[in-house]
Amino acid sequence: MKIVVTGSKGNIGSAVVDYARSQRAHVLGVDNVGRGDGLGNYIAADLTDLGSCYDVVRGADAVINLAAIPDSKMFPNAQTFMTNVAITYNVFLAAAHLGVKRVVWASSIQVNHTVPPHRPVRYRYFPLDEDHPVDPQSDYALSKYVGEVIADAFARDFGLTTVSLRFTDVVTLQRWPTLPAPVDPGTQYPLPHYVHIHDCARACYLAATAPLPPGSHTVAFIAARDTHIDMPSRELAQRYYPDAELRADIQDHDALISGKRAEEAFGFVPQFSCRSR
Amino acid sequence: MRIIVTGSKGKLGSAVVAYARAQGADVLGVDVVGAGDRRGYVCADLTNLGQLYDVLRHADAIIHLAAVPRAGEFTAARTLVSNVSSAYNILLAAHHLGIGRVVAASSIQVLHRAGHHIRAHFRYFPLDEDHPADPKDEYGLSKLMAEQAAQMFAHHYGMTIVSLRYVWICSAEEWATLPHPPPPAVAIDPLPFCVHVEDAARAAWLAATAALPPATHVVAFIAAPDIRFDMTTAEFLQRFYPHVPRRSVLHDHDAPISLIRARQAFGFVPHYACHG
Repeated sequence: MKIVVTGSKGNIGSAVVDYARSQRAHVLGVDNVGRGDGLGNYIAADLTDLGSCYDVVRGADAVINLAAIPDSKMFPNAQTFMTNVAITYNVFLAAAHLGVKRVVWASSIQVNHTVPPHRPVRYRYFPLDEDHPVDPQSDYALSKYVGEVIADAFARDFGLTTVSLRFTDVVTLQRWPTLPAPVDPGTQYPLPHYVHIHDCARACYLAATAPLPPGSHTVAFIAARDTHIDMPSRELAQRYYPDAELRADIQDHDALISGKRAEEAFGFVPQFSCRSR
Repeated sequence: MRIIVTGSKGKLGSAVVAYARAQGADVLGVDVVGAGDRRGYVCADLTNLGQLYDVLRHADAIIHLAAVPRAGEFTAARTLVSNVSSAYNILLAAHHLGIGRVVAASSIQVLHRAGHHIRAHFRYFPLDEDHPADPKDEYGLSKLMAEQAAQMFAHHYGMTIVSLRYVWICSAEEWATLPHPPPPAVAIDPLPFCVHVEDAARAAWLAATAALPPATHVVAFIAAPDIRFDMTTAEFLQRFYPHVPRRSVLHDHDAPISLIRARQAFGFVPHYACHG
């Protein structure tokens, strides 16, 4: 199985490449960093250039498209939005035209609220799920939301099987020992959702390889089964999000986000909790 | 049969589109002019590889005529880079998309340019495709480089590619002015060759559709059978190239260029002659 991983030099991308190779996939990494190795393991490409997209995705069984400007405020607003949307559209278009059957791409929980919040976060209910209304609040979040619309369109129009993974707070190995942590006293809207980078990488691989109905678009949060905040979840919800309806029996530090969709669609169950190491 | 014709709004391109449609082909024209009509024409920049992949999909053959058509229309580097990149992009995308046949417009300017300050160094007449190339400007060089690219894609990627070395392609109006008065003896390398645009278009069609083996690159001159000047070929050669050896007897107005390759490879014989 050949998988093309874009953004392969990033935090998540490099973890995905490692994991997919450990599963014996043939992986071509693509990023705009440095130069390729000339051996088909890594190639440098600018994915805002459509021609480069066609070239790198051809022959793949699946594409895991993680390449993006990874957050707001790193570049001017329009550049962040245009770059991310161009990459997303180009990769979907090239994949559809060249007969690549599956495209998994990195959406973000930021379609629901920016991280960290710079406007009030309005959770209507817990556990948060994919049916919750979105509220993109930045150039970056908007680019991710538009990306989901693109993924949906290509699934319907071209029969591509697409998966939009809404990553939560992806915790690197360096940061992992600092969790769980108390609520940041500077915030009115503590965000309790997270996922270990190794779980995140495995979710990408599963989304790329698990049986899924052709022409379907799956949107799924990727999160741990607990919060990374010391405060018990029910207390956190009641103190900071008193208007949110509690739709499940939430105990202890249970996650305030649902992992049901990812589990049911492509069998992803997180293996890491910051409380059991 | 679906054929993509690039440069479809040009003199030759529009004739190729019309001819191919008359033969019953499903033709998509591509050019940088105006906007697409959502039926048989789409506007695209062929130096942009991504746009190429998009427009070339589902083609059985590509007739690639789009190019900056001569030196001096743009800066030299732009002409060269534009022509080479569009030629390479076409071949790469065709290869990746599994399109096995590409016909590309090359030019006699890979070895001849009229009026240039440096005289041509012809080794023999009639010229043929084995004559050494010797481009004199960025346009001729771009065409030679495109032929080299075609050679690579044919030999190493299994494609069938025909590079048509066109001479002066005459519209019907231009054709009506032939033959032209003999050029003065001081003229430098006056181009004696011409071809009627309808012949040029038919040659492209034949090159795109004739049975040809895979992994083949055919280079062929496309010209009328006679010279465009009102003088005999013997007079023409005596005036301008008295010391260039002649490998065959040239009668009357016979063009000092071989048309054998085009005839043998894909059955092209010109219908239009300038004399009588």
